[in-house]
Amino acid sequence: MLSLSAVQWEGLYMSKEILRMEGITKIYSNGFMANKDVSFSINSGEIHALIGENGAGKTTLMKILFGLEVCQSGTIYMNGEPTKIMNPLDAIAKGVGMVHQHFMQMPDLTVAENIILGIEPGRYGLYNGKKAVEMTLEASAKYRLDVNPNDLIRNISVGQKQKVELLKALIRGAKILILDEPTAVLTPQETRKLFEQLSFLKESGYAVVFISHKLEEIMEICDRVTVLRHGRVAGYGEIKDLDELKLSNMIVGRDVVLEIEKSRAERGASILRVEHLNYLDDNGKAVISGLSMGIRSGEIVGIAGVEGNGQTELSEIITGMRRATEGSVSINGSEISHRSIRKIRDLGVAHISEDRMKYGCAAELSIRDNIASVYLDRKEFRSGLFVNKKKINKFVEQCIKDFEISCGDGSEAIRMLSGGNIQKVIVAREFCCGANLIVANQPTRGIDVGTSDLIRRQIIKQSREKGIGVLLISSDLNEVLEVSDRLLIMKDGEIVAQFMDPKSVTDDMLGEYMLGIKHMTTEEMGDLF
Amino acid sequence: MLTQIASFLFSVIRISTPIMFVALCAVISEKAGLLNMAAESMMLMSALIGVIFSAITQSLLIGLIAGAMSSVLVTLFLCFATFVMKVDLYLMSIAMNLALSGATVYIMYMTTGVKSNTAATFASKTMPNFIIPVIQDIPFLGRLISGHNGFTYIAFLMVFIVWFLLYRTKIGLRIRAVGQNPAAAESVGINPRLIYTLSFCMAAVIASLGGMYLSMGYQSFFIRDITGGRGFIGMSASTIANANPAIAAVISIMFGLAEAVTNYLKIYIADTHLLSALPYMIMTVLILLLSAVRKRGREQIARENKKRLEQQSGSAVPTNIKMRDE
Amino acid sequence: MKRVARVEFLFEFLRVILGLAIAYLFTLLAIVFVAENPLEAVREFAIGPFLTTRRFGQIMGKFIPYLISGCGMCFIYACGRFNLIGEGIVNFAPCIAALALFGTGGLMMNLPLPLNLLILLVICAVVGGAVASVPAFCRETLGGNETVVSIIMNYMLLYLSMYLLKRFLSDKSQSFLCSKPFPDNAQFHSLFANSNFHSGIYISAICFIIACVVFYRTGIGQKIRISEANVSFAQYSGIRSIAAMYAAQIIGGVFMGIAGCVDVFGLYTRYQYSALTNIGMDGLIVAVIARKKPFFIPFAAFVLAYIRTSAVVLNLATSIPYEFVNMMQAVLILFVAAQGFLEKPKNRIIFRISREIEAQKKEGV
Repeated sequence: MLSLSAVQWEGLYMSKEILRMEGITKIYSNGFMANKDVSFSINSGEIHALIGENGAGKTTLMKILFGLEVCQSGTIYMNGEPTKIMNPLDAIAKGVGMVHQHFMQMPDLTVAENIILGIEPGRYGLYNGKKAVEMTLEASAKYRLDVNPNDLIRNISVGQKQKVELLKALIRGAKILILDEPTAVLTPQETRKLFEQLSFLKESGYAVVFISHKLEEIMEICDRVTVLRHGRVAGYGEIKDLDELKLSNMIVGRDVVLEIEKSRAERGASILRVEHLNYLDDNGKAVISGLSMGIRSGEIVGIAGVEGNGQTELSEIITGMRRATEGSVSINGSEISHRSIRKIRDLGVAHISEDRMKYGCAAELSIRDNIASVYLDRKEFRSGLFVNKKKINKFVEQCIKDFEISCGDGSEAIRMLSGGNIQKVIVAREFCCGANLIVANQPTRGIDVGTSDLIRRQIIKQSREKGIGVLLISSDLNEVLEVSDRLLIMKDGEIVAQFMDPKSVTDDMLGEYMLGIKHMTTEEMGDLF
Repeated sequence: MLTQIASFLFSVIRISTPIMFVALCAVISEKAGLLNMAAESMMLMSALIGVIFSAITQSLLIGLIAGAMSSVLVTLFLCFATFVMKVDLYLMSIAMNLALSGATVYIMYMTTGVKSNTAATFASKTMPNFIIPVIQDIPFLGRLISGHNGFTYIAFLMVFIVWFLLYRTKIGLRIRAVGQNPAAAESVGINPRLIYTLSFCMAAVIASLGGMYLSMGYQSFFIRDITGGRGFIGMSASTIANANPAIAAVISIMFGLAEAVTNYLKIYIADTHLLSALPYMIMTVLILLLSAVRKRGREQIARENKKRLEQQSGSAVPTNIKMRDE
Repeated sequence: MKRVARVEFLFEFLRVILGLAIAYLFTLLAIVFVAENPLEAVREFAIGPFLTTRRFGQIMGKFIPYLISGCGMCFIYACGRFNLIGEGIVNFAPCIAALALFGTGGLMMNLPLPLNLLILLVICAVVGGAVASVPAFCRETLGGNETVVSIIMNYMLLYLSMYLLKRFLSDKSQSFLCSKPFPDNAQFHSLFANSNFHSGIYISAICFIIACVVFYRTGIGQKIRISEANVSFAQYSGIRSIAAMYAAQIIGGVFMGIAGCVDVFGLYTRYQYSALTNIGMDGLIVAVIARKKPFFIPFAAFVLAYIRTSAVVLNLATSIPYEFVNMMQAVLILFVAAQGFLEKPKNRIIFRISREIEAQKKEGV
């Protein structure tokens, strides 16, 4: 019999591999390959970072682990044994707990009630509220996650709500915790507390999958890191062997360099002016801080940055879908902070929204109705109370031709079209409405190569031929580097870099600024207007 | 004089009884997140079936059970249409109300050959009135509390039962959870559609008691359209009360009061229609007022939460930052 | 693309036709079960309404208000709101119109028929729109539930109408509660031999055309349709969706008022409603059968009018109570409005077509 010291026992325990996903491949029914031969493993007592842009495959991988999706090939090993995870309940039973980014809680129930829902204490169908409070306090003490069992969820802070989600998973026996962007909604103080709690969990032998983009945090608290890009593992390593630069190289990089033909931009008058913009969200978090920039006619300004750093909110404020907290936004000389979306569109703004099915179109309506939606009150298309159907149908015909939309005559429902064609319809609508500022947020996300190419060429054409100013927000680095005339990088709601010659920007430089390793001074950035 | 008031209040409680049942049934559905529009159909069915079965078997208990079961069957059909066939819930509820008002007449015709009431054919058993020994001798209260029909006492008991069900049982907790966030409930293994069906079935049982009170309480026969819109009154009581069982009961009694006043004044005043309209007018105004108050309350809570966060994080927090489409 | 569109249309069509067929069969079964003379009962039910002018007039008498209320409910139902105030409006608006007729001391007695009718229609339309805006206000501005408010208001309006009738309009010489008879120059006269087929049909036709035009060709109609399809998209496009919702419900109320006017001044010679007429609810059923598309309302309205008349005819012939046809409506709605009905076969066919198209594309390329 060997006799091992306490530390050695601990060492043995610590290095036990608790989960291994091997060769995971997942192809969705529309042909999109979300995961290709991905391998991922985690030990007990480890915090393992999982990094990847939206669409890189990390959400799919975790969905497979949590039983929400099934993979085509690959195996999951838990504690060395091959396992099949059928559904979320099965995942929970096998010790996997998920803390979603958007909390799954009931606002008018107490903390205790939320935590024990589904495993309520009590006999013969009765609910023992006291026991629930006891269970909550017990778990709270055991895992050092301080919560008041009798508080209503609607009254507690975001940090507290997150603790409730953690307790929900832990109390059901989770040994592996998946945290999806946990610090996205937290204030700095709450983040500190979370890290203390995670350290404690780690020391107690739990395994934590930490999905995040914040390099500082990953370097601080994680042990290993796996980077996904385009569905494959693009990088892997031990944090102690890496530094922020090496990490950023793994994360940010273009596999292929696109070449797009583009004439020189002729910058004209100022169209958009954003000055000292601040935006605080519902939880008091500063999503945009003191941001100032501008766009002139004839130029394409691109914004690159990891998603969630305020780009979407910026685009929504400019187009009127959100109201700024402080600061001024003026378009073609008019201040727009209290204007309706309609008035802002009338001032000359077009908007390609990030979420095309929610905001960009109405699935059940025809292509014609979808295109007509912003033209309903235009004088050209109206005769008094009536909408001139003939003119609109002609206009739609022209759009279908110009943008090579593959469809019938336009009277069919838009949901019949492929994603690419739906986006073409949206682009056609927005590009033809006579705007001189186009705000395009992820215009080619989830779209086939051919259509993406067409859309990019159209963006360039609009700016060169009609002197339109374009704000291009994209997480596709190829696109934003090749199409933009001027490139801005956003991190934590601020502009941290400006490049007047995007073609000269290297992947390393991109990574440094996008991931917050470096920050340009105002002089280095130059004139943002 | 006092005895007159006591008699009057006695009749108020009597009239409120069916409304209380419906209000409580609507409370359960509302806690689960759905509005119970089909209460009329639940009541009509049980009223008729209860009479028929109690007459055939000459047993009150079997009549009650049969009536309750028939309401549950109607509700299961409604749930099937809504959750399996995916018809809109409110649309199907309205259809069920229409259907049952016709079906009950049809069944009545089939079994009695008459389409007005069942008095001629079915000698239904009725729920007796109960005189409570000691209490009945108390001067004012005795006249008020003792001597009610059994259903009335059950109705008051039901307030407690519903409260107990919602706040002291596991199923009640799940119902409330699903009503607030069905997706979150699903994530912990609860099936929302199952909970909806269960809550509707429970509501059906309670509503059936209300229906049977009408036909087996202080009279012993079923009349066509015996419910007279009480299904909707009870539902509005629950809406006004924000699904709180006790307050819903109080609102029901208030409506019973209005109806009793109308009945009483009918003898003295010719313009009875205006009186009949009055309680509905008041209800409309109440619903509008309460909606406005609740809206302001929501905004107030949002403001207070922001203030608290302001204090916590030490930064200025805006008050009007919702997305335009909310 | 076209093939899938055609399949979808076919299935929608099938759902309605099949739903009607199944509901009809179910009703026939119910008749056979209870009738003393099943064959005769079925004959009366099925063809009875067409056998005499009078009976056919009955169908038209119902068809006329159903067409109008169907159009009204189309607007309301199509914008996703269950504002059921139609019932109350149908009772209340004509009552106000009758007040104007009799209460203005003979003013209207001297006006020509078309002008009188126009005045009556306008009054009913305005009252209808105004009343419908109350539940709309409750929902759009206050965030409350428009269905509950509208149902309670229906009862309120019923009793108010009866109060107004008794107090200001009643004809004491009659044994039942009713108004004085309408003068000849303020009625929709019967078109054929004293049947119920009255000149209100012209109003119905006009209403139908207006409904189609507004729904498909005006700016507000488009905005209502877009707001119902996707309210986020509507707002993103700059459409004021709350105004659109209000407009839809008020337009619905206007149609309901007109339906009431046409029914009271066409079908009857006095104002004598003593209960809710069900025209509002039937309007909803018409809108459901017509799948929220005004274009199909005449078909749906005729079907419902025919069914209801069949029930009346059957009642006269066999004394089977006329209400039983209500049962059929639940079955009808169940099949016609169910998304789940025929969903699986439809999806299977569409899936097969998509795969065929995919295969063809691959071969072609």
